[in-house]
Amino acid sequence: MKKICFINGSPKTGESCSLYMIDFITKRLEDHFKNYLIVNALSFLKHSNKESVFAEILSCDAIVVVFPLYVDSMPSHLLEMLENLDIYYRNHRINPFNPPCLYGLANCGFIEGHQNVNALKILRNYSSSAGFKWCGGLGLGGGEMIRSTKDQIPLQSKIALPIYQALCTLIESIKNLNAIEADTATLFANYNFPKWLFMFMANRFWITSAKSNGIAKKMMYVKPHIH
Amino acid sequence: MYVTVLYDQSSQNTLASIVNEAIQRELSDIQTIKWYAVNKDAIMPCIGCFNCWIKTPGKCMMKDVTTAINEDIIRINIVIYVTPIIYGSYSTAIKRTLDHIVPILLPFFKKSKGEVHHEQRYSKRPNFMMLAYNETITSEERETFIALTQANSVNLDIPNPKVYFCSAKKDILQTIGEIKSSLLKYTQGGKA
Repeated sequence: MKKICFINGSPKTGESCSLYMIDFITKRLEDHFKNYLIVNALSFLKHSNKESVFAEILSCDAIVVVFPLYVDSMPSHLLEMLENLDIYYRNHRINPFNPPCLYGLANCGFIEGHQNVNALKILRNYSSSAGFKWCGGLGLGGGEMIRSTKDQIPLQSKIALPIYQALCTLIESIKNLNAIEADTATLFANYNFPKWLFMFMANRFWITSAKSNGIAKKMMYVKPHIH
Repeated sequence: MYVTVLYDQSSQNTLASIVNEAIQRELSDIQTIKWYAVNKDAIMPCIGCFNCWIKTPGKCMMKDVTTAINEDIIRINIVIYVTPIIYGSYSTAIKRTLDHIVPILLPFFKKSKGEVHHEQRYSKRPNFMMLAYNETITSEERETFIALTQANSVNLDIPNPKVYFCSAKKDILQTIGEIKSSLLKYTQGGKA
């Protein structure tokens, strides 16, 4: 049976959309992969034996990079880890005729999944540079909402159906180690949700979160760099 | 005209030290430039805590060079990012400074050009210029980098950055010369 590795690009130690996505996918791949490895990119940077982790990652048939969008691309710690993996792979040429399949799964806080486009293009360029087999990516909108409303709005509900269906497409591709069948092998998915309502809910979420820290709405607008 | 230049001091890229030295030398007669030698290991990665929005609005809990960079960004006219281009992205060090730019935004969403984006915390924001270098830059990486910088500009509600690519030692001086001309043009009231 095949082996799979998830590289979790979320820096969060607790719950995150990325970890939730990894959990969602692994539950549906249990019959296809004998074991799976999850590497947290931020923790990895402090790992004492990075080479052993790289060797383990490169022994997998599929690598899925799951991450939150940071300023239109991947977080810097994930970029650093992937660059180091690239260098290791170039220097060790493990199984060069059958490179691992590389998939990307990005999520952003905006409702539009397509705002992940540049992050997935960077991952595609990375795959090409390192010599992996690029099998495509999925960009999801509403990442914070996916995580925070997972009990109220399950992924199979009508509102989240586009996200659920896109995830199923990604999972089917991973099962068969195929490229995602879509234009440029990239899919984007959003909630079935009006933008105005999404913005209203998100803005309320931030006000409530700040209030729980004793920060009133007015205080959220302060300009500390103007003296 | 006030300019901030951020260059990646920690990069092992073959062109890094030559580009970094050349840009400092060639722009040394512009007195209003503030220089930041960015080292990736001297900046903690952003951990996505959002405290800069909900606990200490406008301020990151981590104190490093990005605190000063963000203070500059909302005062100056132009930021020049001098970065190795890797896979169509900024280098790790430069990306780390950009990941920490979040406090200058507000958490609240607005619609801009049909998309959802963050509201701006400050009314004054600089124009961006990019010097992206690497001995090998593929056409896909070039295209990705331009699209990435344009997406950044939409999020910061600033004009599209002017991007200069450099992939050979022999082109460095000419590229920096073009940047200098652009800066001088800006001083004379034109667009950078």
